[in-house]
Amino acid sequence: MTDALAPAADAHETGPSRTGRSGAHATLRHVAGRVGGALLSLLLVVVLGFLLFRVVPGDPVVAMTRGRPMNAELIAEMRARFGLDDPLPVQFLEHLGQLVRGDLGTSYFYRRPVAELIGERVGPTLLLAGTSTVIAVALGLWLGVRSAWRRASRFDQISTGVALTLWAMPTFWLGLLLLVVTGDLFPSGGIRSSGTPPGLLPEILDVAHHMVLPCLTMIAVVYAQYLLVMRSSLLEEMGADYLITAKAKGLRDDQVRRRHAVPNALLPTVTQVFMHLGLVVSGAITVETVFSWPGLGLLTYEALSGPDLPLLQGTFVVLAGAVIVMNLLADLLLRVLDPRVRAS
Amino acid sequence: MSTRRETEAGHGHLLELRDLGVRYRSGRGDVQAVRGVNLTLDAGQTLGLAGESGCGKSTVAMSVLRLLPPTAEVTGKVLLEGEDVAAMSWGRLRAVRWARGSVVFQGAMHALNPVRRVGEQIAEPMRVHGTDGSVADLLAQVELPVSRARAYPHELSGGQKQRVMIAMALACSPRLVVADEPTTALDVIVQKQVLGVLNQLVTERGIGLVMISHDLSVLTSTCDRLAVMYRGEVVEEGPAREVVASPRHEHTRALAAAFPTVGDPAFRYASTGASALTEPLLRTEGLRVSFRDRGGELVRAVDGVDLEIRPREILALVGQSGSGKTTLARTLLGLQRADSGRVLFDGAPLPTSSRGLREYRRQVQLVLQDPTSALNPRHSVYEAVAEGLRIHHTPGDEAALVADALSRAELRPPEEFSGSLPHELSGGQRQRVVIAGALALGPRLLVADEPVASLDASVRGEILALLLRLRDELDLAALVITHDLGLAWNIADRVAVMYRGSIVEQGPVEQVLLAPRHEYTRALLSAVPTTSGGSPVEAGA
Amino acid sequence: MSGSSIVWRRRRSAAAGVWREFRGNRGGLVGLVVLGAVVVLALLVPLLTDEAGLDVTRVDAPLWAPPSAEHWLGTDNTGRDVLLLTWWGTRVSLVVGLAATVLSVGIGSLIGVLAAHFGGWASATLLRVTDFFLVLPSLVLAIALSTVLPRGLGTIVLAIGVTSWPSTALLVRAQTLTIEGRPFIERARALGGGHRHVIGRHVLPAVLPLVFVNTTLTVASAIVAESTLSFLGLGDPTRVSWGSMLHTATVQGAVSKGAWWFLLPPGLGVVVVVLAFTSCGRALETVLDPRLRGER
Repeated sequence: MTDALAPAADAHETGPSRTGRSGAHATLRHVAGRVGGALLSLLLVVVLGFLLFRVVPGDPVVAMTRGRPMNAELIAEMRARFGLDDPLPVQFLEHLGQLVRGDLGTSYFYRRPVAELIGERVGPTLLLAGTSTVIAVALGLWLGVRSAWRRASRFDQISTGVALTLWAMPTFWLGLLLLVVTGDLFPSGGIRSSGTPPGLLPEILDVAHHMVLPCLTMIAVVYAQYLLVMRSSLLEEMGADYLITAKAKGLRDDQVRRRHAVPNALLPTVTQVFMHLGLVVSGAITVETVFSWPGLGLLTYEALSGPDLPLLQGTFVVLAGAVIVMNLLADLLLRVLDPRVRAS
Repeated sequence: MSTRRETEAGHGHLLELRDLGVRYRSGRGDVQAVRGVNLTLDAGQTLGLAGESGCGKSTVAMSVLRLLPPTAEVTGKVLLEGEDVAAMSWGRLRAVRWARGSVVFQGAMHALNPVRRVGEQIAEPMRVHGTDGSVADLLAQVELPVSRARAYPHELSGGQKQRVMIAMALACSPRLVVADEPTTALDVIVQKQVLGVLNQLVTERGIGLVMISHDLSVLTSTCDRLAVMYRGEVVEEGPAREVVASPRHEHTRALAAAFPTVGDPAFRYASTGASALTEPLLRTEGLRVSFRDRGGELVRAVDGVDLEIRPREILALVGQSGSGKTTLARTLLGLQRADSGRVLFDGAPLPTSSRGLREYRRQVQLVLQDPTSALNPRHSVYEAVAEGLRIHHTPGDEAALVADALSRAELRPPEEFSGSLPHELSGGQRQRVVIAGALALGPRLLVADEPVASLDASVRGEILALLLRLRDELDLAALVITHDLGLAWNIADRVAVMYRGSIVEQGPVEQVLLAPRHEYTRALLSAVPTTSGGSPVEAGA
Repeated sequence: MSGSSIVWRRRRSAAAGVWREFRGNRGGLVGLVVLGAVVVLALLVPLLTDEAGLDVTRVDAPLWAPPSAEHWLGTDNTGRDVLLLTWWGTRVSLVVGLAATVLSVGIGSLIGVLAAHFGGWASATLLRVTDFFLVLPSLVLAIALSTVLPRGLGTIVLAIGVTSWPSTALLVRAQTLTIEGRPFIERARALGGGHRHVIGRHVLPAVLPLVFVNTTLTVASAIVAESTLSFLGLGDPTRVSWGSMLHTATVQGAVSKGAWWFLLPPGLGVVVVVLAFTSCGRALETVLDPRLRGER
């Protein structure tokens, strides 16, 4: 009697499993959805930038000519040149078209195209933020695993305490303190000294010398976040039933940790790491300001003290856009790494 | 090897528990989970360990491989092939784990690592212990296609995961397998298949199997011997059939009564039925409901259902999980919108306005499966029962109405319970609170979704008796949704069998359950393990 | 009636239980005591000191003076007493931190509950907006806001509040979804309860403890954010805050002068207050969390 229904029962049983084709289809839909979402976010950033810097502050011509005597004719000409007499939607479309062509406007202060200025500053920021993030992630994850595995031990208490204290510090203040404490040991700012002998090696050493303090500052403030996330994620994982299974199979404690607990805890942590990329950007702005590191952060600071609105709008769009794109990449990468995400 | 010789010479058993006791230390005082347990098992034998939740049966299972948490204090002896598990060094213990004795853990979803392929997980103990064997062979033994080795746990169904757990347990050819609730949460038909696999392994490989379950019918159909645990102690032990047929301890009797034999008049509690002449209280006409699942695919959960419930009638809606019975219930309550078809209550179609629906819900009340989660843990019994009254602004003395509902649900005296929080009550009492909350509104129809499925076996009878008494006293009609054919036999007047969204058979209980016409009903009935009469599940069934 | 008196007695005893457990947490208790002291000091400062000491035109102490018996923490570039400045700075930091938190937690909770409770496109839109703000680097947006809006405390509060709500929203949404997945919500609906009943009687009481914990942690990050914005020169120019002190110090070259007494106190102020809030929040979390997670 059961035989007659066996195929039906089996079909019911294999229900949740996914065949290759529908899986590929789902992946494609997921990727399309994410890319679409990111594009929407980018558009929102542009809209927000337009509203914040072109609409809220009022007439840019007034801002630009502030403090200088101008005649009405000149003002009218400038208004026409900037297209300020058009209705807002037309202005926005105009602005969007410029953006697509890579035109971010002209800086009031430098009297140069914003895109050019930003292009010059991207390298140093990537160098500083990249190096610091890689080190901070490695340090944070490693300490986080050790803390969670020996929960409430002396090591855990100290490392969590230090992390919390560093997290409580304003980034820039830590940088200032380091500057005062180290005195003349490291350069107080910039990326190069003028008297460096030519040659690749001396130049690299010089940049590295300049990078020590900014890097340290950024790591100190950022790694705490990763440590705490990794620790709590692993602690949560440690109550899971499959670890008892692993133990019952005869695995040693360190095998249970390395093969089962950590890989599981790592995936949510990686998600968090990328979710908090904005933190790195915030860190970069303040650290570069303190150490006069010629990157996008310092450029932002220079722009806001003007205020040089086109420049600020440019850095706003570029920094926010970069974080959105990085997030998208991380999201797609995570989908490759985590089978659970792949399924949902 | 010396231990092996001893076993063969008949000195030692495969597994022997001598005066085993386990005590959990905690900040709020110690809990003695297991005391004075003596059990033995030889190769090729199956031992069933029965008991309600919290009786200590899982603790016994975990103590065999010394897997209890550090807060557990173990006394007495656990001898695995004559060797004391507690006396083993860590290295020795690791060598013994899985190679000599393995465990099929409860809840296969959580016992498998979610981010590793099941094939790797099955192969892992072989690598650790350096034993030969192939994943393909193991999967074949549990009747899974080899291609499933590349799947991740979430890609498998419940039955498939359970088979993976069994394949994993067999990886190092252990002599002892401990299976902790291996079929809980599986449908009867899948359960029958999994039990078949386990039984076949015992006969073919001559392993010793300890099977732990709350379900006496599962154990009697699989095990030679049966031990019943109650509050940490073994209260009765003996050949399985004997224990069930003539239980000596009253707890065993209560457990046995919870697994009724369909067709046995002793298990038929229903007395007065509804007259077939009265107008139906609730009627559905060609009801269809579909919704999109998480993958965005259209699922047709209810596919053309015609159903009638008359006043004072108890109708049992029977089906496997996924058959659409819960969706049907939600639609009857207006919690889910139907695509087409009609629901008629008292001859009038289900209202669509939120005001009309609220009025309708006073007449039709819901009793959920798990009373623990059906009650807000922050609300006292009084608040839980008064909730409906407050929503409907029922006139009258609220306190008196609540007290009245509580005593109708047999929580007497009511004032003793009103101040309690749900976690201070037992499972049965909680279900009575849920029922009282429904009764407070004076409904005419109760929709009960698996009303006793998550209750301990010994409480089951009381709740069923309460439902029958309410029908007699208050002229209530009830739609009881269940996967359990025994429950239908216990209390229903009529049965409707649901399969893949449609009702395949309906009629009076005696007719449907004793002379089923549809082959699906017959398959369901044959898959139900029974405590008497039925034979142990044949290998490979 | 009897029902409500039972409820109140139970709530009181639950609160007493929380307090008893919180008291057992040393870090949390220390944090609470420090916070209490800081708040009292901030309230008392107008009574105990003379505001005239903040006016550059009315001080005649030496400039850049290191700590001495007269000026315990030295003086700044205009001869003002650093101790006095730091003490007054407490007020701005606390006020901005708390006000921004109220704004942020308010927006976050509202959006979180709404996004979880009502499904469909409205929820999808809210979630999309939340995701957008979550990803957006909050300091960059805060800088943009405080640059284009008129300088002042209100702008700073707005800039921090509007940029820091998404994490609260996600947290509240997750918790609301958990609660709404519980069968007792289904029971409440079957009893006839509408949206208001479900949210008011079931969702909010279960979500509030979590929001409360989240609030203490948000205050901590809001205070850091305030100091950062003021350090960048975006603060209220008419008031002394810890961030603006550090701004002045850097601009006036305190680092090259080695004037550590001008740099140390305001930063330490931030660290102490933030740590106090954080340890209170973490202690509350451990006290309340088993209830949130377990629910029995």
